[in-house]
Amino acid sequence: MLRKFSRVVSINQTQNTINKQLVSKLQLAYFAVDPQMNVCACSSNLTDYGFPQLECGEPIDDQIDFMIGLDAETELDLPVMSSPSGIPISINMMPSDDQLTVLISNASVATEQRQMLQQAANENELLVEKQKKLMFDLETASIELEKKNTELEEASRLQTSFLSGVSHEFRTPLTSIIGYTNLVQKGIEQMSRQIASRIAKQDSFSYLNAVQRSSKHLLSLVENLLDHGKLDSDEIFIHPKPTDLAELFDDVELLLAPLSQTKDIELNVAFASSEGNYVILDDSRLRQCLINLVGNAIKFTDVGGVELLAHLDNEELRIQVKDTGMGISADNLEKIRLPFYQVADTGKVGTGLGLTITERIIDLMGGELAIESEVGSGTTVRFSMPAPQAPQEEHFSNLAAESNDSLKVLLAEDDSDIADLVTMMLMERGVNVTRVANGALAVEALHNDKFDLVLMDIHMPIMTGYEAIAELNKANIKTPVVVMSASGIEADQKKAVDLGCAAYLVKPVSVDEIIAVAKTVMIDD
Amino acid sequence: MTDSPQIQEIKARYKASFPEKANMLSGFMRVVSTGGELTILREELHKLAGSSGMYSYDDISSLCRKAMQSIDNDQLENLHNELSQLINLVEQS
Repeated sequence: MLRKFSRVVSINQTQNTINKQLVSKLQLAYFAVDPQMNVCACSSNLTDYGFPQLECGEPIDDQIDFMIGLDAETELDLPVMSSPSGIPISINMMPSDDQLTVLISNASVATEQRQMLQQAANENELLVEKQKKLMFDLETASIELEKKNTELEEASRLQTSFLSGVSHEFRTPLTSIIGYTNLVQKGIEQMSRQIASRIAKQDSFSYLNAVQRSSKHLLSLVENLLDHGKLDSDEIFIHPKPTDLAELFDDVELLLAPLSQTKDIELNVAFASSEGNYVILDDSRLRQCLINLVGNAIKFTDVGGVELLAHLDNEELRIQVKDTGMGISADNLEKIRLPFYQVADTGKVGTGLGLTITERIIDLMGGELAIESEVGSGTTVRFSMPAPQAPQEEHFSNLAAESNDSLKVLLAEDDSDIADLVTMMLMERGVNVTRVANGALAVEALHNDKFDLVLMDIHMPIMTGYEAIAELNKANIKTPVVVMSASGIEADQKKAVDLGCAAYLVKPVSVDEIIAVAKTVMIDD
Repeated sequence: MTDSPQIQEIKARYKASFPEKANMLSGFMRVVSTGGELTILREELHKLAGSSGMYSYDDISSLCRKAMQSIDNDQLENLHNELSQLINLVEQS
């Protein structure tokens, strides 16, 4: 082909013109070199591409000698490259026997097209990637949606089961209350007709007991529901106070024995102590936990019995509730701790809140609940909690008798309603009370007189309780200070501890609590 | 255990102060409605929470605490409802 082309260029003028036009239109440039690397032909437009203008017969210029060493026998298309002027060029090399011709053409359009193609390919690839990602997101969202849907279905199922449980739980004692009050009414009618007998009175008494039991059960249900509402907002507070554990376990037995009797199962409650019965803990919260746990055990036991064992040793109360009931499968052992969860197919109803609340309360009281169970072999629930010893009951109940002047208390309280009541109650118990209405007066009183104890409110005008305690610390006055505040906020309690207060009582407080704490503080002191 | 006559008298005096307390709370109702300063209301609620609890008006005490929490959490709508319930409760007690 090259041979033909060179012949045409040198011989035929018409074709020469056409070729010139081709060269011009297509912006073709060319040069040819002989085996000695001397230029034997060249176009005049090499300079358009930034190459030097070649002269025939002269050696090839350094700038375009890149073809040296190429196989002169092989026709070759080099890839698009950039010319010295920056224009993309396509180079065709056409070797013949006596020379090598090099055709240079403008590859701008091809390059542009190639770039466009490349860009389109890139964009396409990007779109495919985006599509893949969208598909993945869609799949994830679909899985998430399905999960949420299942959760919602479960929540809805729990809610329905909770409502039906609550309604059943409320209906049973209410029916009992209505029934028994009806019987009492009839008894009263009979008595009014003066035909009442001793037996009728006894019946009425037992009916009223039943009403009271049912009412207490209802109350505990309502308390559980209210407590559940408080779980999330951390509103459940623990108020430790001197407690007679023997009395507490007797109460629990008395309260739950009728329930076990109706199911004809045994209820055994045993309390043993190596250090007396009086401890400091929140008796009503512990009672609530025991009623929930033993009540549950009775509910799920149809044959055999339930055992509540408690042991106080080394200021730790250990409790075990064991039943011979249907047991809980491993699957359900964790789930039963969730609010509203109730094991299906047990035929038992309830609110599904008792265990959740109990676990939280035990946690707040410093204990941890553990459950062991096996289907068909019953369930054992264990927990322990700190139970520091309290002063013996007779010590504080006889305080008034033993020491009219022995306990001298300074009461710093700006609210006269509270100050009046606390002063009178303490005075009736034989305590000598001095009242002041702000922190500054309390500091002054403690500088001038000696007291066994200070009962200090926090929010007071002129000088707050905390400021007063700080002043007392500065003055090295060591009288024990018990803070009495309506604030149950932990930060306030921590501040009191940081300031070295002996105790922190959250209002409302009973006079027994004040005296018991006073006694403990003074013993410690 | 029955209260002594002195304690009974103190309790009666406290109960007799309820209309005055309800009045005071009603005054604050206007403050709440107009988005006014709530520091003093919080102090009064704190006092009432403490004293009513000491006098065994547990429901009043607990509602006061709730209202205080609503102030702390800037939940004015809740506060409005709680204050209104509190006024009714104090009036009825």
